[in-house]
Amino acid sequence: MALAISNLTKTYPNGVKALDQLQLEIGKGMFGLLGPNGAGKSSLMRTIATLQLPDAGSIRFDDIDILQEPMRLRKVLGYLPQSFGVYPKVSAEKLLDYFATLKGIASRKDRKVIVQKVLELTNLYDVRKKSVSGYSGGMKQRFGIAQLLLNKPQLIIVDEPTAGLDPAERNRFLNVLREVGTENTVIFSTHIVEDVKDLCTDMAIMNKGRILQHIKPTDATNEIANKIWTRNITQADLADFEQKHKVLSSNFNPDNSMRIRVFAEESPDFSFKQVAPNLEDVYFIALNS
Amino acid sequence: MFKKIFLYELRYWLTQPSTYIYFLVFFGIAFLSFAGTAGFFDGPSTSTEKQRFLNSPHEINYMLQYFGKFFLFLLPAIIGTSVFKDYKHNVHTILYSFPIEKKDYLLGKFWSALLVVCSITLAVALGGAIGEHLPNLDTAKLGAFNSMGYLQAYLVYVLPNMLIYGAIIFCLVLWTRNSYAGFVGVLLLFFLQIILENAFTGNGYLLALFDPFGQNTARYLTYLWTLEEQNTQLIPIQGVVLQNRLLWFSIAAFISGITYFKFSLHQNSMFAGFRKGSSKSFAKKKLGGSGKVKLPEVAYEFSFAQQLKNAWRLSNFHFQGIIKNWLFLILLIFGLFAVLFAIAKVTNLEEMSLLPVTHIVLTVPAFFFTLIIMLLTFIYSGMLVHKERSAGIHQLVDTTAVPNGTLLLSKTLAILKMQVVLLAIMMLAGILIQLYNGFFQFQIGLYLFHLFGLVFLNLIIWAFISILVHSLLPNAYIGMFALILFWMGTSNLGQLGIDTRLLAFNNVPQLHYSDVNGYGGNLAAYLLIESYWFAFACLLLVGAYLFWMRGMPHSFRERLLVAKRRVSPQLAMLAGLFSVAFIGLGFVIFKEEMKSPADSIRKAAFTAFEKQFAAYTGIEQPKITDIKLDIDLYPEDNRFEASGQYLIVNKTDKAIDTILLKTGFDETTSFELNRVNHIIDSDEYVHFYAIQLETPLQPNDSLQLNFRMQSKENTLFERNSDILDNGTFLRYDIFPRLGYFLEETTKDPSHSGACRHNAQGISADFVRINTIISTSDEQLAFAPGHLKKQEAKEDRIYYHYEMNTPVEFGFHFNSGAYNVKRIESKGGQLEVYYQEGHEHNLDNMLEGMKASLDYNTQYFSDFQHEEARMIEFPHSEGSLATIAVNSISTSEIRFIANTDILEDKIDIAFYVASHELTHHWWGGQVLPADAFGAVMLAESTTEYVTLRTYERYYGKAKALQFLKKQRERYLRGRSRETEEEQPLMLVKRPQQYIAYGKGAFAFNSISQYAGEEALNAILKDFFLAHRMKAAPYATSIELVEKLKTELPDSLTYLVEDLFETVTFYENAISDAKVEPLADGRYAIELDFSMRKYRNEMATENLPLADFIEIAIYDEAEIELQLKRYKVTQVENKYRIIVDEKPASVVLDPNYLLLDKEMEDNAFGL
Repeated sequence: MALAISNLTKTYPNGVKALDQLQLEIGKGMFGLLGPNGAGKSSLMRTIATLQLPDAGSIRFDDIDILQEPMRLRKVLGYLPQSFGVYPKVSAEKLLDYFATLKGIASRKDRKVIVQKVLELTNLYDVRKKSVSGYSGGMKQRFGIAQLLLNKPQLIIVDEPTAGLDPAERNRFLNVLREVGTENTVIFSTHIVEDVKDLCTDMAIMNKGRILQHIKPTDATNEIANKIWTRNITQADLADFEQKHKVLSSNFNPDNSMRIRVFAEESPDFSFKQVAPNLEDVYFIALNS
Repeated sequence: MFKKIFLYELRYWLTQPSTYIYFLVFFGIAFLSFAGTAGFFDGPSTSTEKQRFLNSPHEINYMLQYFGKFFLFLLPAIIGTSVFKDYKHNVHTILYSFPIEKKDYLLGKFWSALLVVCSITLAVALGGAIGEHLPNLDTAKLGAFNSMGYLQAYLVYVLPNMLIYGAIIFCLVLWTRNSYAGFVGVLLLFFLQIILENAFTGNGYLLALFDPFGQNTARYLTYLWTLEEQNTQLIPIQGVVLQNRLLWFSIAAFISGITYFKFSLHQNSMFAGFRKGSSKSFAKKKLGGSGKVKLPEVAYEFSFAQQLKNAWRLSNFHFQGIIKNWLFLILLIFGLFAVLFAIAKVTNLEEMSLLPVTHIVLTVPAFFFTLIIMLLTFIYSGMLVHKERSAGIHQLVDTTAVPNGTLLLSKTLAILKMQVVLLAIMMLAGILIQLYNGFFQFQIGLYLFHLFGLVFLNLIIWAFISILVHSLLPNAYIGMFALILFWMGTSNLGQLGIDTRLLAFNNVPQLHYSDVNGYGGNLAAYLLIESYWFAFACLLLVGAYLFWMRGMPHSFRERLLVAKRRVSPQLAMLAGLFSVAFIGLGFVIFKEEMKSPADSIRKAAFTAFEKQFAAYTGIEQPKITDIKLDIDLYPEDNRFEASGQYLIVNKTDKAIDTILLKTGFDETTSFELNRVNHIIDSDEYVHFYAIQLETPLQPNDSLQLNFRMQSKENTLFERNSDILDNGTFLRYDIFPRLGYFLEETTKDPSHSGACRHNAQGISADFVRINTIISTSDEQLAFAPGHLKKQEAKEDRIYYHYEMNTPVEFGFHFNSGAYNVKRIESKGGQLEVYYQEGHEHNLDNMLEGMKASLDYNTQYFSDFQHEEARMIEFPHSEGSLATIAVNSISTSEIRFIANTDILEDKIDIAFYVASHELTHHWWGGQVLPADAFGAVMLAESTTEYVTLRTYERYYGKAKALQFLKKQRERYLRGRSRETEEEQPLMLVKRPQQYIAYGKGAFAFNSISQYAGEEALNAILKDFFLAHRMKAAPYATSIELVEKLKTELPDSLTYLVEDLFETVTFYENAISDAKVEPLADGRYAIELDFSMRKYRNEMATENLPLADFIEIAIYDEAEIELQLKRYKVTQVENKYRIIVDEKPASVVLDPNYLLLDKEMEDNAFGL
C-alpha cells in the first residue's frame, strides 16, 4: 500500500502555483504533512482525493492511477476536508446511512451494522439522533471520521483536522485517528508540529508547492542533535540576532523577554545553551533553508 | 454607516454580470414582443378595422402587469440574495461582530437591492418606448406616444409592487435564511391572487381592493371601457386604487416592522429552537489505546442495477428534504386552495355553471397549475443541484465512490416525485370538488392518464432542462432566472414570426378532451411533439451528466476537460440513440408541417385569388332549388365520400352565361354540368371555378350539376376532414356553392339591392333536399328532414331523409353512437340524441324545445316538420348550438351544464333548446335580407321569444335574471367593440352583444311598455308578410317602421332610442325619506334624476317624455307597489303613499331602461 506522486504541478487561474513538480512516496502508516498556510497542502490533498485535476504529473495508489481512474480510488479512499458542512436538520445516524448508500453498501442491515460501529468508534453513539448541524467542532470532526470509515478506506486523507479544536477534543480526535490509521495509509496535513510528533511515523515538510524534506520524525530530530541552542534576549535585540544567527523560533517569556532557538553546528556564543532538538526545529530549519 | 453599506452593496450588484443580463433580457423581450405585436415583422396590415393602440396607457399598463409577474422573481434573486449571500459565505459570523447598526445593515442592503431591481424593471419601459418608435410599424395599432402611460403604470403599480413585495421577500429570507423561500414566496403571492380572483368572482370591488398586484384594480375601473376610451384615456387613480395600494403597503410595513424589531445581528437564525443541546457533554467511552479498529464485514456493491436502486434510495432522501419543509407545506396548502377555487371557477362560468365532469375539472391544470409546477421545478431543481455545495458537504460526497449518474438520477427522480405529489394534489382537489358537488362520476382513468401521462410528460421535460441549466450555471438564482426567461422567450417565438414546432421548446397543442370523442386527433400530435422534446431533454440530461459538478474544478476549461473524459462508448451510444430519436421525430414533425402550407402562403394565395377574381363581383347567378345528396361517412377512418345533384334555375329576367362555382376548401371535388361548358378561369387553391355555358341559361330555364367529393386526409397537426371517430358534426360549407363569395355583399338595409339575397348566402332561396346518409353500424347518422327509411347493408346503415317543404339553404349532418330521449308534443315529436352519461339536462332541453314550440305556434305559425331533434357534438368542435332545418346540433358543453343550482345563472340547457328551435320561425321561415340588421331579425327576435318562454317556465324572477345577463352582455360587449357601435337596427353579424344582448333588452322593454300581446301581434304581421318568401327579403327597416306605426305615439320614442340610435339613461335617486301618516299609511318623499343621452353626445340631455317604473319594497323585499310614471324633466320630486311600512325604493326594477349604473337606482329608507 503505497502512494506515489510524481511531477505534480498545478497553477490556478489567478496565477498561484499551488503544486510545483512535486514528488512524494508514502507507505503504510501515519504520514504527517507539515507546512505553513498556503504551502499547497490542501491542493495536494484535494488532488489526491480526486477533487481536482493537476496540470501535469501523476499519482498512483498501489495499482490505481488516481487521475485516470478516480472511481477506483474513491472506493478505498477516506477523505476529511479542512472544513465541511452538513445538510441542515439531518441526524448523524441518518446522514451516515446516506453516506453508506453513497459508498456502495447495498443492504439495509449492513448499513445499520456498520453505522452503529462507526458511531461507537467515534464516540457519537449517544448523540446519533441529534442533527449534525448542531454538533460542536470536535464532534463534527469525529463525525467526519465516522463517515470516512464507512467504506473501510485504505487511503485516508485528513486535511488540518485539529484546527480550532480545544485540547481535549484534539486528543480525543487524534486517538480515534490513531486507531484507524495503523493498518492503512493515512495522510494527515497540519501546520501544528505537535500533531505530527504525537502521531506520525513518517512526515514531510512542504512549502510553495514543493516537498522540502521527507523524513521520519525520529530521524529528523536525531539529525540535528547537538545543533540547537537557546538563550533569552530582549525584544529589541531580536532583529540583531536574526541577522547574525539562524533563528528558528522566538517566544516571549512571562517577563516580556524573549527566548530564541538557534540552529548552529557549534555553540554560537557562550550565552547560548544547548537544548534537545524537537520537530519544530526540524520544521523551521526546513522552511528557512 | 448606512451610506457605506448602501454603496458597498450597490457596487456589488453593479459588478455582477447577472444584473446586466437581467436588464438586457427584459429589454430584449419587451422590445421584440412590442415590435412583433405592432407588426414590425409582418408589415402593415390591410385591415380597416379600428385597432387597439398598443401604446395607449391602458395597454401599457396591461403589458407592465404581465411583465410585473416576472419582475417579482427579481425580488428573491436580488433582494433575497443580498441578505442570503452573507449567510451563504458565512460572512455573517464575522460581519455580525462588527460594530454595525442593525438599522444601517438592513436598510442599506434593502434599499440598494431595491434600487437595482427597480432599475432593471425600467428595461421594459425602455423596450416599449423604443419599440414604439421603430419604422415600418402598423400605424393603425399605434396612437401618439404618451409618456404619462408609462409614468403612471410605474408609479402606481410596478414600483410600489417592487417596494411592497421586496420588503416582504426581504423579511422572508431574513427569517428563514433560505434563498429559495423568496422564490416560493413569490409563488404564494400568485396563488393568493388566484384565490382572491375566484373568491370574489362577481364582486369586482372587493377583488379590486385586495388584489395583491393591483391588476384587477385597474381592470375594475376599465372593464366597461369602449375601445375608444381604452385607446385614449389614462387609467384613473382614485378611491379603490389608492385603498388597494395603501392596504398592501400597510401589510408590508407591518411585516417589516415586526421583522425589524425581532431581528438582531446574531449568528443563529431567528428560529433557533432546533439547536438545543449542542453544548451538552456526552459520556465518553474509553477507547482501546492503539488497538486495531475492527469494522464489521459488510458487502459493497457497485453494479449497475445497484446504482439504479441507490439512485431511487437517494432520491427519497432528497425528496423528503423538499417536502418536509414548512414552506413547501404552506405552498401545498395554498396550492390546494387555489386549485379548489380555480376548479370552482371553471365549473362556474359567467352565464352558466358546469357539472364538475372530470375533463372540465382537468382543464384547470392546463391553464395555470402546470405553470406553477414548472416554476417549482425550476426552483427546486436548482436547490437540489446545488444542495451539497450550499451545505458545504460536497467534498465528502464527491469523494465517495458513487457515480455521477447515480447522483444526477437521484436528484432528477426527486424532482419528478415532487411533480407527482403536486399532480396528485390537483387530482385530489378535483375529486374533492366533485364530491362536494355530489357528483360521483369520477373518471379515475382519465385523471391518471391526463395528469400522470400527458401533463407529467411535459413536466419531465422541464425537469430535465432545469437540471442541465442548474448544472451548468454557478448559482441557483441565475439558473432559475435563466430558465424563466428561456420559457418566456420560447413562448413568445410566434411574435417573431417563427411558427415551426421544431423550435418552440416543449410547446404542446392544447388538448380538449370530450366524453364523446376523447382527445380526438390532437392527442397524436401532442404525443409526437412531446416525444420529440423528450428525446431532446434526454440529450440535455446527458449534457447534465457530462457537466455534473464533481469536486472543485477551478475553471470552465477544467470542466470541459472533465466532461470530455466522461464520454464513454456507452454514453456516446446513448446520446446517439437520443439524437437519432430527436432528429427522426423532428423529421416526422417537419414532414407533417410541410403537408400544410404556411400561413404566409395561404394568405398570399387568397390575396392572389381576390385580385384575380374580383372581376366576378356581383355577377348575377342562378339559384339552387333542389338538392339530392348521397353521403357515406367512415368514422373509423375519419373520412367521407359523397355525391350529389343540384337543380339550378335562372330566377333572374336575363340570360346567364357564366356560372361561378366554389367547392369545399378541404375536400377534393369533381363536378359536371348537364350542358356544354368550359372552365374559363379557376383557382386550384381556393377551389373556385368560372364556367362559361355555351348556350346561356335563359330566365326560368334550369340546369343540373352533378358532383362527387371526398375528404382530404388529416395531417397530424391539421384537420382536413371533419369526420370524427364519434360525434361528427359536418356543416354544409363543404358542398358546392354558387357565386363569388368574397364580395362585401352586406349592405345598408336601405340600399336598393339589399333585399335581393338572403343572409344565408347567394346560392339559393328556399330549396328541397333529399339525403341518403350512411355510417358505420355502431353509429346513427342524421341529415335534415324526416327519416323515411333506414336499411342495413353489410356493416353499414343507410338512412333516407326527406323533406316535405322547401327550407332555407343550410344543413348539418351528424353521426355518432348516441342514446335518445323523446317526448311527443302537440306540434311534433321532440328528440335529444346524446352521449351516454350526459343525461343530466335532457329534460330541460326537451322542456325548452316544447316551450318554444308552444309559444311560437301560439303566436306565429305551425311547426313545419314532423320532428325536431337536438344532437350532441364534442366540445372540441366548439361550444355553440345551431339549428339547420329541424336538427339542432349542440355542443357537449350544453349537456354538462349544471342546471340544478341556478342562483344568478340561467338554465342554459333550456335556454339553448328554446332559442334554437325558435329560429325555425325567426331565421328559418322568415329569412332576413343580407343587410345590416339581419341578425336583429334572426337573433334579437329569437332571444326575445326565448325570454318569454323562459318566463313562462321559470317565472318572472328568473326571467329578470335572464334579462340582467343580456344587459350585462351588451354593456361588456360594447367595451370590446373594435368598430363604431351600431344601433340595433344596423347591427352587423359579428356584433353579437348588440344582436342578442341589446336585442332581447329592446324587444322586452317594448313588450313591457306596450304589452306582450300588442308586440306579438306586430311581430306576427311581419312574420306572415315574409314567411317562406324569397326576394325581396325582410329588412330591419321594415320591422322598425312597423313598430313605429303600430305602437301608440307615446311609446315610439322607445323604438327610436332602442332600435334606431344608441341611447342611455342616467337615473339615480338622490334622496328618499319616509314619513308615517296619521291614517297608518306611509308617505315617501322621493328625489331622483333622470337623464337621457345619445352615445355620441354624452353630455347633451335629450328631452324627456319617458316612462319609468318605480317600485317600493318592504323589509322582507316584498313588492308593496310598482307604478309607472311619465317623467318630463331631469330633476324630480315625487310623493308616494303606500299602505305598509316601506324599506326601500327602486327605480326601474324590471330593467326596462338602459342605464349603465344601476346601483344608484335603489335607495334604502
